[in-house]
Amino acid sequence: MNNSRSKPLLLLAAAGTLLTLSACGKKAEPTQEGLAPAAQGKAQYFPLQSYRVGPYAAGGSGFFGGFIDYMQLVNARGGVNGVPLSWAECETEYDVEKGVECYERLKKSSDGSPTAATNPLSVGIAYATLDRSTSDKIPLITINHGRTDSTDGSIFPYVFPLQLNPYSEVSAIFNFIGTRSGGLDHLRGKKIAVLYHGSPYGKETNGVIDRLASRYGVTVEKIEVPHPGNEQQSQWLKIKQFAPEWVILRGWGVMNPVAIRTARKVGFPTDRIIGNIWSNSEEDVVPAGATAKGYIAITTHPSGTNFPVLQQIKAEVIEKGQGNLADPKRFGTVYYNLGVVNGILNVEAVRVAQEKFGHRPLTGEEVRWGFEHLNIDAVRLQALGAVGLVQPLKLSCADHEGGGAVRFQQWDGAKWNLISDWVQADRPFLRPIIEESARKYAREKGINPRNCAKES
Amino acid sequence: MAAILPSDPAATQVAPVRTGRRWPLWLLALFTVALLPFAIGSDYLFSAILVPLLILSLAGLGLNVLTGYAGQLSLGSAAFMAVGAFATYNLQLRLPGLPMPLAMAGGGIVAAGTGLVFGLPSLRVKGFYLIASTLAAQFFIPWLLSQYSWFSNGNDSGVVTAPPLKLGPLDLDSPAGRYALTLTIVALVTWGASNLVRGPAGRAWIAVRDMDLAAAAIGIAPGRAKLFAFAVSSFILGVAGGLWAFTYLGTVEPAGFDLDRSFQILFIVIIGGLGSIRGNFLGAAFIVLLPVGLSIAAGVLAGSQVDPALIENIQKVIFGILIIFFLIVEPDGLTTLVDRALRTQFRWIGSRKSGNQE
Repeated sequence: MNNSRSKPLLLLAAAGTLLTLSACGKKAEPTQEGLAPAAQGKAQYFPLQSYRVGPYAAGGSGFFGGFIDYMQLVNARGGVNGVPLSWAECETEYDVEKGVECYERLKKSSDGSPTAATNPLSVGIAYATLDRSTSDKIPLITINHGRTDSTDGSIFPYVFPLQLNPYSEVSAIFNFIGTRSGGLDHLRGKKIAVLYHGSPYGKETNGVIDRLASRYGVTVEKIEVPHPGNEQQSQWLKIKQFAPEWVILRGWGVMNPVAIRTARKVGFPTDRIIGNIWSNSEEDVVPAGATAKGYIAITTHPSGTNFPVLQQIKAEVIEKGQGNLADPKRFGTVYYNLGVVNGILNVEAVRVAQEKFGHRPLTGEEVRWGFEHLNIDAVRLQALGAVGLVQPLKLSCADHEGGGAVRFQQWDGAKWNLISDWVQADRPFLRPIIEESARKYAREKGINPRNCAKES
Repeated sequence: MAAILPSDPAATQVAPVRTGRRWPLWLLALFTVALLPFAIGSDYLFSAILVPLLILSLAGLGLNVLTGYAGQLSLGSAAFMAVGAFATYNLQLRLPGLPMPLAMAGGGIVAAGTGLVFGLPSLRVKGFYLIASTLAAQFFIPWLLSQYSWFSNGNDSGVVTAPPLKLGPLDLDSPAGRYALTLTIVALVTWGASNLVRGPAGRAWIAVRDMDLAAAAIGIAPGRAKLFAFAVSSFILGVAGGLWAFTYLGTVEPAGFDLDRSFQILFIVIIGGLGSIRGNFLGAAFIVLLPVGLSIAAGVLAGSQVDPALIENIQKVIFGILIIFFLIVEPDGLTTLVDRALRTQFRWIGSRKSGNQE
């Protein structure tokens, strides 16, 4: 009985397998061809893999609020050389699978407008959509985060960790601690604890921290906080035992205020904690209340509403009732301003590419060229009304990061105050590490690096 | 949830095992459905809907073998998926030239071995106590995988990237190719599992599930049957994990296989129907498609006027209500619901099929 039934089954299965395999060979080509023809739609389209619920909602809603408000400002002023911007949103909850689903859902616009770039604001999602972005020819922007070795554009042509990659971030913090200790050579023998978020984002810098530690003779203890980080008693007791001079907080979302509060509970001084680029917002310190006073964090862009571009957004978007923030009090906060910075950089890339390819909606491939030729100098910043908000940035085929400088700010209980000038990362030291890691990736994936010397 | 509570031995006996009398025609229909997407050929359909749907169905099948057929409760499904994914990755990395399907089978075998170890307590404990043991696997394995960077080949972030998908001369690195590969593997494993549960092994599992003392009395070794169920279940979950990493996401990270994923698989099994092969596919369809459908519908209905965060939360509420609704309407799972529909509303399909054996 069993045998007579399974025979046709087996035959069917075999036939089906063959059919499917032969069909996929044929079908694979047209799907890729669909992207090749030049732009037809009327707008420049941005798919937004945003997140407004879950433990990281503060970051997501602030960032995408600023990004959308800036695009609204551009549209209110007639678009980019007459080309309006359009966008669609999809909720990821910072979850990798949802992010992939959103990427696939949104990567083509509903009206045929070509896609400029994706901005998932999540290292996990960026890792998972990296291959997809590359084969779909859509730039993947990971401002201030992402996969560090994607700085090497010869191997990662479509990925841009703009402004500050994770290695630069750590290196700048070491440089700052060095200055505070009276020079980098005074670091020898010091103890630093790193408290990191248990996610690809949090772990990204573990290797480079070890290298920096051995370079400067620092003893480093790396302690993981499991996602999302609501409970950190044991981690901070461990830090207390280790008794470091400094704690680098590599947190995200709810983990940050909990860290600050727990530090106080175990008696670790707040002004010896340095928050990294995702532990630097108002949402990270306000919930910790008075205990957060004195907390230091790095930033690529100050909070505040005095920048001309923010005043323009206020006048032309928010006061017309079109602002994206549910809570208007968050206007000008760190996450919101980062969204504005991200908007400026995306739109500038489109603008640069338009000068080469014409004033029309551009394909992702053309916008990628724009990103690689971004050159934002003091004059351009003045015109954008973003002096002090965006750092001067020059990208190239080989360098997809551009800036690599941060400033340090300290929370006084009510607002952030800048306490340092621009601190540059040791990029010459980091570059070989980045290239080595990128080459390893290229070997694993069978990628032929581009020759950046020949790129125009 | 009540269905998995072990307090009453009869409670685990939720659904009788279906004998597949109408299989050939069912299968033909299934193949038509499976091939249909190639005619549509949309990247979104392939990469965001069908591939995860098939993989989660397979994972559901893995847990169903253990829980639905053999009556052993587990909350470690995602951990065994993680073992499969990382083993597949490391086999491919460290044994260059190993064909990809073999690496995946190898991942399954490593997962089976791991499952066997964590299944050992099932020889002594039952029900909730066994959950504790599998929960230990769920916490221990992802920790182990992220603690030692050897597993991720020294990648700092703990994320490993799957190599390009190639099968001999065939390049499967396109959405359609990934779907075809997933479909083939899921179909093969499902076919194997359905044969297994209808054979002596399956009968032994069901006997142990329904009453292990009686099973022992009629000459079945309950311990061996339980361990075999753990091994088979973990093998299937391991293959599902390998597919999840290689054909779906393209990256592997231990955090992607957390307790939430285990619960997701458990819900697939409960909603689809315990002790059923088809139920896994129905359950996975419910879990995968419904949130996506809700999200798309919300986008269309609400437009841009309503606060997006509010829309998200409403979707979660609706999803939860629907789960409760279906469990009240049919506690034995969607598969029973479908069966009943076939028997009553669509009688003509059923009668035609049962008359046609070839």
